[in-house]
Amino acid sequence: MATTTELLQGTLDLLILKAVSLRPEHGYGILLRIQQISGDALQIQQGSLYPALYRLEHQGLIASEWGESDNKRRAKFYSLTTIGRRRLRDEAAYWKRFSEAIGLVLAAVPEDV
Amino acid sequence: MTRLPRLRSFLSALFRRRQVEADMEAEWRAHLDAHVDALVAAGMSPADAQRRARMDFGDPLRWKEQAFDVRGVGWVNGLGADIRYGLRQMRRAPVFTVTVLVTLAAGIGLNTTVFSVIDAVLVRSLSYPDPERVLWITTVDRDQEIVTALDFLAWKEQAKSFDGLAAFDTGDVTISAADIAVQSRVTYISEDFWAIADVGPVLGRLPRRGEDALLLSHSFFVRAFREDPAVVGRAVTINGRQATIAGVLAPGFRAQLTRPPVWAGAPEGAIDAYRTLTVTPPIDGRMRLINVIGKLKAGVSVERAQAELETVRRRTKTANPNAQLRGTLRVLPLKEKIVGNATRPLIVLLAAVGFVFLIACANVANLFLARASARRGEVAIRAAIGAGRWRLARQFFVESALIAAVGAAAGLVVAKWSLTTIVRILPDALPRLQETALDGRALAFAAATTIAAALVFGMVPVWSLWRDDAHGVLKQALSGALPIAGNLRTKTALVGLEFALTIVLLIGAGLLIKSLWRLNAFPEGFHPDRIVTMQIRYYGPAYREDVARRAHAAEVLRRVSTVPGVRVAAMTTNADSSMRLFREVDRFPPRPDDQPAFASLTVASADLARVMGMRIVRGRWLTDSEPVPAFVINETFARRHFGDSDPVGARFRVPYVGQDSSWATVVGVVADTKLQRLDGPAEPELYVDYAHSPVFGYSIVASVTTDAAAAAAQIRRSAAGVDATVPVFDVKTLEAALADSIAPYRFNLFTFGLFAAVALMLASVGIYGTLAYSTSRRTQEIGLRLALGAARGEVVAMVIRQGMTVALIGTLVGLVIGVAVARVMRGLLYEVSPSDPYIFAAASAVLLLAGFAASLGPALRAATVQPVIALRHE
Repeated sequence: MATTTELLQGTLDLLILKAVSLRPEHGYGILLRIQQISGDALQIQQGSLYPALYRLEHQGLIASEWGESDNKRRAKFYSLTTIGRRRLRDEAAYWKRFSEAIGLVLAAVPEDV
Repeated sequence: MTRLPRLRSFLSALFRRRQVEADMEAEWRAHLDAHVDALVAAGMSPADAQRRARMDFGDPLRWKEQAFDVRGVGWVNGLGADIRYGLRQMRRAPVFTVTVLVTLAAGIGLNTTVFSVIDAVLVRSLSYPDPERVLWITTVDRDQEIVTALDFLAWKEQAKSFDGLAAFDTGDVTISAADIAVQSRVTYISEDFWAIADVGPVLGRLPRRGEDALLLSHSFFVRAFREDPAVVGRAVTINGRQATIAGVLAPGFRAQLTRPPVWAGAPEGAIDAYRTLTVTPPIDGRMRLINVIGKLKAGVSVERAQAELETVRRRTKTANPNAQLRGTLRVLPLKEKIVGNATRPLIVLLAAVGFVFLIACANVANLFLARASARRGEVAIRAAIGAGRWRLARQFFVESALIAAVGAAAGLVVAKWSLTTIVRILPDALPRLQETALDGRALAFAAATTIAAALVFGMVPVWSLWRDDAHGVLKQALSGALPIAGNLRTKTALVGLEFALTIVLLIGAGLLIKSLWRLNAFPEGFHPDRIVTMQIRYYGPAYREDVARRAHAAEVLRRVSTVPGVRVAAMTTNADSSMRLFREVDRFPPRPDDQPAFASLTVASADLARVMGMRIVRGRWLTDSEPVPAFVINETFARRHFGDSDPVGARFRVPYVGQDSSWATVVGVVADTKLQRLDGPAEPELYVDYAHSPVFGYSIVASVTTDAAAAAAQIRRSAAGVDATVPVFDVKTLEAALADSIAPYRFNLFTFGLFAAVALMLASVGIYGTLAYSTSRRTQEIGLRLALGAARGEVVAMVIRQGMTVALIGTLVGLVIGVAVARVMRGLLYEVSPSDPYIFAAASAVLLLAGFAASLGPALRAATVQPVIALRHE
């Protein structure tokens, strides 16, 4: 859906943080969660999820732990850390300002100029 | 706070890659399984679901690389690739690689060598505890530094500024036990020393108070006593007197004391044993002369201690009005006394090796420049297919670091070799030279030099890369018409610099060679290489009487004279500096203006003048049957005390000569010789016939007509055959004995000569490389010239002219620097002016000749260019 990779990268991080902030999720679960919340509007290429997860983990924003999934499979669960929570708040606020600004620009009509 | 998990994930990605990978794969398998489950649940067949799931996931390999990159380990893997690439580059250009390696090895190796020497000699503290508090205490009288027993005893008793005062002296003795008799060098030292040095024996104990005891050095313990621990506690005889072996010192222990002065009669060398020195008050006016070191009490200044010693001295003078306490007190840190004279030669040496390093750097920079321009095409292509500038820069730095590291490793081998060589062949050229080692500090220095070199040489190609317009270069590279890079001027300037520095080193080496040549310029008729010397010492009851010693010596002379090849043999006490005795001389009748006179005294037999080729200026030489003591003096003595009047017939008195020091008459004057020290001015000499002078040992000197080495063995056998209990030792040619006396000159020449030779080689390589590079770049131009009718000789002349212009300008600039630098070397030279025009001319000639020879190769190669091929190449 997203058009540029740059935008996707920043956005993907934000979406992952949001997804795991609701409750700890494994990789596949995060994908499903994002699709579900966005009403299938956002489709993420499955493999590209993992480098993003590892990056966030490397930065200490999320933590991982092996556990058991709903259908009794071993899976790695990701959860938000304290600094991850702070980052999510900042990013979300930024995203909100950004999309409002874009919205205003796009809503402009000739009379406004 | 975020640092720690990052570091942990970085490290585990780096070192536990396999485990991290397994973890990821397990996670992805779980992901796929979950996806397949979902697809099957949605009604897909399991096989289709599998295929679909894999498709959706994408290429796991790609994700895996990215997964490691995000952990920050990407550059490490990249570095590995860079190193592999760098090694491949080194292998692909073997000439370049070997030249750079040899140059760096020489530069880093020689610098590390000089660093080690300077560190050991000048920088490092002495090995005493609180070394800055250990002082050299002496009185200076007519340039001689010595302390009388009277002064020492008074200081020791009254001075409060010191934790300890130790007296010492060094001499050669024969140590004999039940079954052995060995000639050895012993330092007599008073007991405070062991407390000042804070060392003790590894075997046995320290000498007890008032005990005459001996501590053996470990090497002497091995050499003379075969490491038999039973020797501890045994009694031995030292020059006829009993002493006990109290213990053995640790291997490698070497008391850091001053070297014995020349007149003390003990040349340089390792100390075999340390014997208790008990300083006693002067007996009937005769005083023992000693050297003194002292350790200051903590918190006492050198000035205060000196003032106190001065006060004590004044009191002593008042209390002993008859004692001759002459001279002025001098107190300075012991280290300054030990290494003081070595500072200047080492500074000169440091400058010289710095020059070598600069030349080496200029050469390597040139080589890197040449290669950088040769690789401009490659670099442009890599830049075009997406390598960033930083990525390329890193590549170059990795390459230069690799080559510098290998060069440094080779340099350490060079340093190890040159240090070992110097210490082996010239162990006493500098004080503390034997303490040099390739230790941690030297390694750290070498490492720092290497890193600096790697950064600089890595910069060279990066710098030209930054300047390059990649697009333009790429176009030209692809069309095969890459022009000569603009750095030829830089290269030429660097080669000019090399020549300027090299000529300075050549001048220095030339001046030192001439000094050594001057030192070895012996008068006609004196051939030290054909004079064999050896030492004889008498001990024990059989030789208590002077008559017995003389009889033995006369028999030795008789037998040695009959050895085939021996022309004439004589005895003396002064074949080289090892037995030098200065004696106070009184003149009869005394004159009111007489200054106290000292002369070097030599006891001689009738044939000494013939063996040594001495020239008799007035009167006659000594005979073996003088009825009364007779003297022969040298010209310096005559000039100093008689001016222009004839000294023959004058009378002198010298202690220990004749019966009760009776008056003796001068019978002749000989020309000055340089038999004592090669580098000193002639000193007043006094020769006395041996019949009237009791001595405890002789040197036998024999001039031979055949091979000296072969004759020496036979001479030794015949001398030892007279009485096996009398030690005959130190058999060598006089040439070798004299060479020892100028070890510092030979050290300077060895090191400087080595540096100059390396510099000459590097400068030649430099000009060769630059010319070869520029002619290869000009192949087409030269081909065109030849095609248009230029003679091949003209092409040769053109290239040589190009090389010689650089060489000439560099040489001229260097001559100017050389004048200034040579002046600093004045103290290192002997009878050679630092601006000796012949040396300057010779050095220039050598350098220009080397430049010409190095230019010849590229010039001839340029002339063989085939015009057709060269032009078609375009």
